[in-house]
Amino acid sequence: MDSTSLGLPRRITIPTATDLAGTRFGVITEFLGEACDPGVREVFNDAVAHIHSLGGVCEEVSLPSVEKGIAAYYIIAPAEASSNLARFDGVRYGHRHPGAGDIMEMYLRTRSEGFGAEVKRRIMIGTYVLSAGYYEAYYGQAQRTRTLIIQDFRRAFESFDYLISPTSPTVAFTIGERIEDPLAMYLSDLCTIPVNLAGLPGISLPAGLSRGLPVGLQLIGPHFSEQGMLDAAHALERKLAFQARPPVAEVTR
Amino acid sequence: MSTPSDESAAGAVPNDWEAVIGLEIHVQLHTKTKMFCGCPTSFGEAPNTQVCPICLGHPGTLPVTNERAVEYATRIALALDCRVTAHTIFHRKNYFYPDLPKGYQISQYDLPLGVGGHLNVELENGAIHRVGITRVHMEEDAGKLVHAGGASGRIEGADHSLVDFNRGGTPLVEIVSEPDIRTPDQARSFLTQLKNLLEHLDVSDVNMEEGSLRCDANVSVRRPGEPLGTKTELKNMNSFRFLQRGLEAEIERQMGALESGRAVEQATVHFDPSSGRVSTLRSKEEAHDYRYFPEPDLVPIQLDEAYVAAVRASLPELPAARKERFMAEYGLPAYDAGVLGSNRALGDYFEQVAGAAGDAKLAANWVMGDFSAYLNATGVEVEAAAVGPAALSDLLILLREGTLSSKMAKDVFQDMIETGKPASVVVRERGLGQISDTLALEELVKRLVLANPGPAEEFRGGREKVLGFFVGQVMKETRGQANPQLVNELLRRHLLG
Repeated sequence: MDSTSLGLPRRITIPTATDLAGTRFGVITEFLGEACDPGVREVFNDAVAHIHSLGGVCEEVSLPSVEKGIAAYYIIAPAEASSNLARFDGVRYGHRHPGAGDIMEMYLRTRSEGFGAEVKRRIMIGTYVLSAGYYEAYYGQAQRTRTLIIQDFRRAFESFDYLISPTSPTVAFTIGERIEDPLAMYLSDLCTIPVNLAGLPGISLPAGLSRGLPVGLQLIGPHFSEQGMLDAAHALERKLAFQARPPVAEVTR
Repeated sequence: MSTPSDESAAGAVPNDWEAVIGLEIHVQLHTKTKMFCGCPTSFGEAPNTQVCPICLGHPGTLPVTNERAVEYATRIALALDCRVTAHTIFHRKNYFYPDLPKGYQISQYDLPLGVGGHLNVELENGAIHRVGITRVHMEEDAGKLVHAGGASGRIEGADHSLVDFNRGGTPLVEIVSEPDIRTPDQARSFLTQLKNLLEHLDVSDVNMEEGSLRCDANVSVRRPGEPLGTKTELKNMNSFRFLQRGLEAEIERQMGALESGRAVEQATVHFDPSSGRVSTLRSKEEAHDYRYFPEPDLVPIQLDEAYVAAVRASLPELPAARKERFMAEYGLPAYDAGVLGSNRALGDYFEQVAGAAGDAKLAANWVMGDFSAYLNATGVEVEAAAVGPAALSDLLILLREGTLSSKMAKDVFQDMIETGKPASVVVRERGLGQISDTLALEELVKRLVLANPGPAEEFRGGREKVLGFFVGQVMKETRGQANPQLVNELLRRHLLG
């Protein structure tokens, strides 16, 4: 097992729970703000009512640092990616530009040809935020923000068994809609990224439709709460009884 | 009034200049496996046979820290009197080079394993010079480039390069000294004594030719009392002699530049032992930005007090302590104790010989004399010597009991080296061996005294010189193998008695 893995204290069994009696759910205030579509909020509020009907308790809870999650993530992840992707240098495997005159030309052409636009963007951002003179302002600050996010979650779990939010603030956007605006695209991950920065288990349940498109409900648990989280998700999933009937696209000749 | 003479040797720094030298030493640990994977660390295998997806940096692989390497690094830090960092972490040092499979080296940065130590270096003149140790940190070695198609094997003139990743991922400890060294001689003494220390710690093969001990130097010169000059980095000198000669050449180059009004530029400098000259490799003006950041694939290492105490307790006897003990326990003079105490294998050998032969001073003389001369002449390691400690002590017993004279023992030792036979066998086969058998000699002495009544009478009359005649007769009869002391004693007894 590698150094980033820990042995789980017990096995996960297939969940069978059918009610949520006495379970306390925190509704993360920050994820229901302006960025959240009214249609998404509506489906989410219906799901909260279902939780109540199963005997669960829902209360709002504020985690102020999670709003900085996207900003921190788009420094930390590109920094690591810029380093992780350095191994694609054409020396041992993968694409290599044929016929380069020297090592520098081989590196430059191999990597220019082999990576797509989003990967190059992240490599450049990551290289920048790790550079001498910028490290503290970007990478150091982002890691401190990550610590604040972890602390916010830890505090919330002192009062709640699980936290809930929409999985994404909007329903799916059309293909190509945000391709020119990566920042807007990154915002789709507003609610899920802080969970990953904190290393917490989470699950997304289809909770209903808005404008004919599915809306997800995200359930977040403390570290190593997978079993309980899956039990709660199972009970809620039965109650939501989501019928996935996506609208069939009309085919025109 | 003249200045102290130890600075006047060839290649030393003249009195109106001062050199400031700091050393960076890389030590390959002789763990069974690599720093972050299970590949063997063996040297000299066919290229790219000691590798796996982890040390080749394949996508999706993750490192796991070698616990033994951490223990060895801790030993080094403690032996150099460093403070061991309780919470130490790895960083990534990012740069592109074909011998670096991941595009970064896993190393340490602002939380190295050990900081703030020192090594007390004994100089040629016996003085102790304390050199500070800035840090001791862990990292992984890179692979090795072989430049092909050129005459020199160096990158200049080569038409392509091959990469051997066998060495990639081998555990390294980097030891960085404070700029406390002032002369090439001091640098050499420092490195020699550091090597001895590492040998005692049993953490590395410390073989400069094979690259398990490597040394770079940071060098600058200044007028005494002035602020530090611009430094250059002298790279990869792979022997003690090249370290000294490289430093001498670089110091001379810098003094020459400054004396003729030019500036020393910050650069990496290569010493070419065949020409004895130094050449600038690359300018350091566009300094590397290694984009260090904490290695996210590895967890921090907690070295608590109990762990550090356990490693400290497991440290073997180190050279300084061994020297003291050899003086106290065996009554050796300081010089002998220093020589035998600094070389682990030779010290172990000496102790075995001294114990078995029952005469420490005799053992020390032989181990430092004929035995060391044999090692130096043949390049054989102590452990592989043709004459082991038991065999040498058997020889010394024959010498001590009088069976062999010193001269004879030296001859027998040479035979033992060549034939690998025990001393007793060599002595028997060659008919050597002093006759120390009192009864046998007594018979002979009696016979000679009776056969030469005239000279015997003269001796009794007070002519001491006549004794020489009788000794000569005994030696003639025994072909020179009689124990002279015993012969004298027996002759006196029988002539006078």
